[in-house]
Amino acid sequence: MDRIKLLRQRFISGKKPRIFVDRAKFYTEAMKATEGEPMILRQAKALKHVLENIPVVIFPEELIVGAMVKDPPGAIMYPEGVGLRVLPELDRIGERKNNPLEISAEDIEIIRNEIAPYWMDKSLGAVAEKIAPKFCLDLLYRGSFYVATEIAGISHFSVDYASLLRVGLEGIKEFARRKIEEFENLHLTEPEEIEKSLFYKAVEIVCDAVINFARRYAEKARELAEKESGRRREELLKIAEICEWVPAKPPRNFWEALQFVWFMQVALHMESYEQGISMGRVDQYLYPYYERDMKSGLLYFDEAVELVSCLWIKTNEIVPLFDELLTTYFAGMPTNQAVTLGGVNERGEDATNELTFVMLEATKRVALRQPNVHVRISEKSPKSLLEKCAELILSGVNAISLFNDSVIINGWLKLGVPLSDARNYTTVGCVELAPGGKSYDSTDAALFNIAICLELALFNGETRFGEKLGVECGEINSMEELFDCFERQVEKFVKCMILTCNSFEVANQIAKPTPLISVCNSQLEIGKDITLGSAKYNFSGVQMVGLADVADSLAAIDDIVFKKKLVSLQELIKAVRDNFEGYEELRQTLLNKAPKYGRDEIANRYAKIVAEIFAREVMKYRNPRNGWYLPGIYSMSTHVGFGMLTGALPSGRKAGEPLSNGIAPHPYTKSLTSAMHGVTSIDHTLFMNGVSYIITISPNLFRGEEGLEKLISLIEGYFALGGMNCHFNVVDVAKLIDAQKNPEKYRDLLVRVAGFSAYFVDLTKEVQDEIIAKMIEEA
Amino acid sequence: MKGIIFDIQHFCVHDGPGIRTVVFLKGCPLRCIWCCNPESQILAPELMFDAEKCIDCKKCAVCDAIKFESTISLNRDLCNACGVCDEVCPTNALRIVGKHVEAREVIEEVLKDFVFYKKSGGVTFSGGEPFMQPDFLTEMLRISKEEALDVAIETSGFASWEKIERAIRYIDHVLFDIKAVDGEKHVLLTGVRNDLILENLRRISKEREVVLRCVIVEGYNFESEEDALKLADISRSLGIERIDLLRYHRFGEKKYRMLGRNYELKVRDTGLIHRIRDVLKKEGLRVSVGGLI
Ligand code: SF4
Ligand code: SF4
Repeated sequence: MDRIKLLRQRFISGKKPRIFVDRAKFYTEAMKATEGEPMILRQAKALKHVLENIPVVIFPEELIVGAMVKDPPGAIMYPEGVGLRVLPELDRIGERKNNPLEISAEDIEIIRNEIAPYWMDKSLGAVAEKIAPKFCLDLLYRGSFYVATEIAGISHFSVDYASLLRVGLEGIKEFARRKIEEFENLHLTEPEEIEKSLFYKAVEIVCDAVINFARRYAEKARELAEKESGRRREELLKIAEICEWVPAKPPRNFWEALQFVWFMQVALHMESYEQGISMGRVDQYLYPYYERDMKSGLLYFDEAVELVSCLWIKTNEIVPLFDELLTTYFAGMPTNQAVTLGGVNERGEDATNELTFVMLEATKRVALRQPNVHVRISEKSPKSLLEKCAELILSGVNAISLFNDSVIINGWLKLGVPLSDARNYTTVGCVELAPGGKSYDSTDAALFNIAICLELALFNGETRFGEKLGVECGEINSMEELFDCFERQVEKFVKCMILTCNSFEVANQIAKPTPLISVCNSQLEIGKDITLGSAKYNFSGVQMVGLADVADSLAAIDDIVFKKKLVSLQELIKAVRDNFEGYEELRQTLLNKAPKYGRDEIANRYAKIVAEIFAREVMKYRNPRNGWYLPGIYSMSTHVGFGMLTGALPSGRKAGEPLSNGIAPHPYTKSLTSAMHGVTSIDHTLFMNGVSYIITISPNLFRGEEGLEKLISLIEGYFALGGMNCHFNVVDVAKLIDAQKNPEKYRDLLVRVAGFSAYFVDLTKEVQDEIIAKMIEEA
Repeated sequence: MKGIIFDIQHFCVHDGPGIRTVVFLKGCPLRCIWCCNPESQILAPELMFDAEKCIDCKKCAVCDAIKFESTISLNRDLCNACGVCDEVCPTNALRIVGKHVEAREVIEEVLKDFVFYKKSGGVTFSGGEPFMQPDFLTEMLRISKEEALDVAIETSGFASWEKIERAIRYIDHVLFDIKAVDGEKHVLLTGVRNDLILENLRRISKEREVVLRCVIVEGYNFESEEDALKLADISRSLGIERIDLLRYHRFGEKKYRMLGRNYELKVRDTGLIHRIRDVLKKEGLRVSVGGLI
């Protein structure tokens, strides 16, 4: 069988992912053994202990080696973060409805007896609880105001592989060694040097740890080669040679460069938790190796595709270990290892190259949900790039997102990022952004429910259950007063969210320095751990959720209450409090007669104002790494989680229904372009942490070559309007059938019906059936 | 200059090249028995009522035409489509379809999507039959061209040549509906003869590139592969290369109910559309099948 087919089999077989405790076990062992030593050394030693002991496995036909878990897909446990939240669920985690996981009875015992007790008072959460203001923590635990993620660790960054590949870990180790020797030889007398030398000692340890980890793979490969013959034996011997060389030394060829990257990815995932550890501009920093090999005839296009595919497949080895609650907020088991392709280079020239296309081809062949393939599109991108992307999108490869260079570069410049770093930006996680080079931007620090701020504004600072959590503003008699009150709630709760995030960051500084991330992305000469702010860029990203709900609600109040005077504000508030029980007629009026974001100018204007309020509040604050907070607009699946805990809204939405997803409007309009006008009435350059806009389409909207052209026009139009990012969700028959059962999940699913496009869920059952039948017939 | 339209749809991808905005003009001289847009036929605003949406709130009890007994009942003879009930109905169960608008207003709405027309898209005038409002149409066409829009028209071709002639210079693409190839059948199925239509098709195809569009209503307008050959003859004789076959569908059924009308057409489907496609392909034409999904 074809190698790629064979390798991807493991991930499409429907096998339940398993929880693996190896990392947690060795990490805990080491932490127990090093009690009393400086924390940064303990972390370094713990990583070393983990990498020395976790199982080394090479799967049949692999070319890129290094297993995240011994039998993928699986989940790694991070007991120092939120890994132990599953503790009470462990016995029945295989049966839970969403994302069930396997675990052996034996491993449950290990967790209960060896791991969990140690962390009870030492996890990041335990430390953070001693730091954060109680009010803010209480708000967090409610789950309805914000989710703050750094209690799990920081992660969420784009590894600076361009620099790493140049020197190799030995190069970094040498630098650290020199610094340590200078200190040991009494050349450094400033008091800061003591802590610095401690940092360099940790650097030395983790570099060695990763190098030795790779050598374990070299050994393993040789051992396996003994049992093989022919082609596979040659391959394994080659792998052994590669693992001997990288990541210790700079790679000598393309294969080595890819293997280098993957060893680092694995090691980073053993150090810090599995969210958003991204690979950056892969088609740029790997290109020199690719080009050299191609020129010297050592590599062919197909081989390159195969090698890249092998790397891509590896990113699917892990799923996150979330408890049931977190699964609601972050559904679909994302780990969000992003790769960035295309775009312009530091000089502003088109950076698309042959490797870009190799990687897109690999994406098409692999067609799994990871990695997140982010393609930067600039005005200088060749037509063929967008064509290839459109082709992939239409073939149903839903892991592709497109990013708009001109908007994003412009946004960085506004923040004072120098032009070359702005142009060299990378993507992180699902839609986030980071300036080029050494940056540590904690891009998913928190997600914020802006809709609940409106709820509290309507109830004079109280929740619908009568708790006084917000700001009291007295009776509201005009739009201005309502706005004023809403802003005051936003101000207060954003502040609480930031205090929470900052407390969590301090907890990380105390309890979870990350020397290996520091090796990758800090400015080494500063000699401090990256959690202390040693990167060149140190932003934190927090996202707004529920934009469309607030915009629609404000527009409805403006129109129905103040302009048309169909109902008084007091009456409307009462209806909202009662979840529209006995107010169906009013609710219908709000749904059908009021202006909506994505369709009507006035609601678009409200969306813009709301977005600007959020951005302004967020950008007031600094984090403990001395970086600024940046706003974003995306929700993962927190719009569902927040929605469950948010009461009815004047938009006509009932309590508990999901909020809007990312920056997208609710699907009231039947026109995608009109939605795009709404979305871009907001200035995306204000949201430099990233904006998510997901467009669900049926492939039959864009058939054949003409269809491809039309999709390109749509994307180009959206980008010309100032859209930052878009992601197409192409649905097939299976999804349509699912949409019939779960219409709420597919509210924006577009299908073509008789010369026009309709939302699938708006159609009657009969029509839906007919469409499905015809689609099957066509196929 | 005002005219009456019943919809403007943005982001249409099957009505001419590129991404288009379709303007639907109200009023049609034909009465195709399979028509799936009954609200497009009459050249005046009409009231539509969607019983499924009604929540029986009685807010619309503002007019003699609307009575409530056990449930709502409409006396359409008393309705002059004034729109008052539409305005108060919270669920949009009652809706006026069709409104009088200025030509320029329409084009301004179309121009909102200008950024999406860059490569090849533009505006498509459809209906109803756009030539039923020739002055209004020509005015919109003129403004469209002033604004550098790419213009397509979808027509049944049933209009005096004089009306078509003064519009044609503003039109880039013609989507020409063929309802039936046989003259007698045409009368039976649409209420009008097709001589004028075919004559107009001949004249238009000399001036503009034409795409033919045929809804295949099996057993009615098309009965066998023979009909396909006739269609191929027409196309070839006029130098037309492209035919879009559209599947018949019943999505219009509910709309008849909403207009207080009946719809009784029963159509069987043995896959004639695919056989026709194959015949046309063999005859060297560029054929696509679409229209449903
Ligand atoms: S449109 Fe006017 S006349 Fe017709 S039913 Fe409604 S209110 Fe009465
Ligand atoms: S106003 Fe609308 S929803 Fe209410 S009874 Fe009349 S038609 Fe039904």
